[in-house]
Amino acid sequence: MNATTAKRKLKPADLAIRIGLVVLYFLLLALVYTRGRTHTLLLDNKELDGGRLPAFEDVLVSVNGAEPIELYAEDRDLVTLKGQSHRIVLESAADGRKIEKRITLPIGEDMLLLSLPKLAAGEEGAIEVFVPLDAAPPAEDEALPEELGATEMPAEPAPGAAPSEAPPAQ
Amino acid sequence: MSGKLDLKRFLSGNAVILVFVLISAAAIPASKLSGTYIVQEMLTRIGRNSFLVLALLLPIYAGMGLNFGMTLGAMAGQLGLICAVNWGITGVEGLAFAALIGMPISIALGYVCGSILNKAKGREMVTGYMLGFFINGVYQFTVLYFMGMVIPIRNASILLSRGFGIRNTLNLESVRQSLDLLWSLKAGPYVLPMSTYLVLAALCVFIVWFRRTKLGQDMRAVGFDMGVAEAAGIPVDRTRVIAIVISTVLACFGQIIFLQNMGNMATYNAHDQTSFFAVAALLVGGASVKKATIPNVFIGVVLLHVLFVVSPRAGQNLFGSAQIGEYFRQFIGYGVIALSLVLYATRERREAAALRASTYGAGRKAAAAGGSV
Repeated sequence: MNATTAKRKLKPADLAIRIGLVVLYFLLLALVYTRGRTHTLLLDNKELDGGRLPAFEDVLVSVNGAEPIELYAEDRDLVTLKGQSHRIVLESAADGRKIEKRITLPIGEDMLLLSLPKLAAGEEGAIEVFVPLDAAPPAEDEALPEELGATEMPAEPAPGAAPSEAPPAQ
Repeated sequence: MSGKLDLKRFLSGNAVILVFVLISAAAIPASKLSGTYIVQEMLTRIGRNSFLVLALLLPIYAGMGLNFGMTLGAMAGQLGLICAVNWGITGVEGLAFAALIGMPISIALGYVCGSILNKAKGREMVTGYMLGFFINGVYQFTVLYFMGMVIPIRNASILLSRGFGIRNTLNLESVRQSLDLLWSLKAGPYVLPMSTYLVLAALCVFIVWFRRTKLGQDMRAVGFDMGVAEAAGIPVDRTRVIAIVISTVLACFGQIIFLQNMGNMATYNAHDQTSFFAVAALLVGGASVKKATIPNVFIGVVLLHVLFVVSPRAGQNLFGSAQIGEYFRQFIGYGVIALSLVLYATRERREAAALRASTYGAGRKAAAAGGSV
């Protein structure tokens, strides 16, 4: 009874503090999620649209000021990045052209593909979601039955237990 | 006579710590490990384990004994780490995320634990221990069946091949030592995980500050005598629940710190012995069921882990088998808890007998004095 009364008499200031704490909790959660989310970025140096956007013959790619990665035409490499916004510097070895771009990765995606020719040309859609073949979700009708979990690890018979099948007649 | 009594009191009061010092003193030379190696191990292990041991202090202040229910918090921390690995959140942010996910779970579990312990006053330790087993079943059910089946898991590499349930061992490479290496200092041959030490220092400051607050004073009053505290208007049950909730949340954070240092997690049994080792360390440090201080924590962690480090090698060198050292380590761990509890019970009984004798003795003397008049 007393507890109920005490709950009803919650001061507005206390209520505000509690709501503030809940809001702070979710803000912190969102902050650490966005700052700590790791993405795999594939750096793709392949020509597009039948040669409309040619690949770099030899390009140095530096992500966030890290050691540059050298890519030749038709090469692909990957980097692991934390957070959403990143600075990419492309340096063409052929003509010494230097291109600096800032990219923003979509938060929910694990693996993305960055087309270097598209990025250099400043075209839209330089970043695409990449789904590796082995990680593609199985088709609905190919879903494994739940019972398979049990059949994968059959229970071992107890030592000395009778065999499950009768021996063949002599 | 007085000197003899003082020595006896000192020996009985510090029996556990003295036994440990003696065993360690004998085992260190036998192990033939270098001093540098042992000191570096201690510096690492202080950072790794102390947070969990510090989590035990508040329930002791509240008179609830050693909180074996801290396993619940450890499980909450592990659930947080599974979420961090699942969503690909790495580094210190991954640890913070795990702590934020684990915190509400540990608050809820702590509340449940505290409420149950209020129904089992006087038998908190065994009740907490049993509660740990019960919640362990719920945890295993959640992680083994719900995750991947009901709770979506996007990171297929942490799932069992059957498609649901988390793998037996979780690789924590994405958060491995991210707190320890955030700021580490090299002092001669030693590497000091300063950021972890700072977190420990902050917790120590919090505990010292908390003891001086109104709630902290209430907790100590409840620990001293529940009846008197109740009569003084202190909400005893609520105070005890708060002590357990804080302890459980700290255990959640402590388990995250422990596992980030290890770099991998035994999904289904990493929490099994969390409370056991934390309790053993605290008791080795000279604490009892009723009294524990911050120095007890650090003394205990160092002494227990010196033995943990040197005993397998001492066993190898003395008996030709490291396994003997492992057995030694196990029985020392359990033995120290048993010895401490027995000593505590003996002391309590002796003090009660002395009090009884003095009361009756005074009564008899008064009666004798009255009779002679």
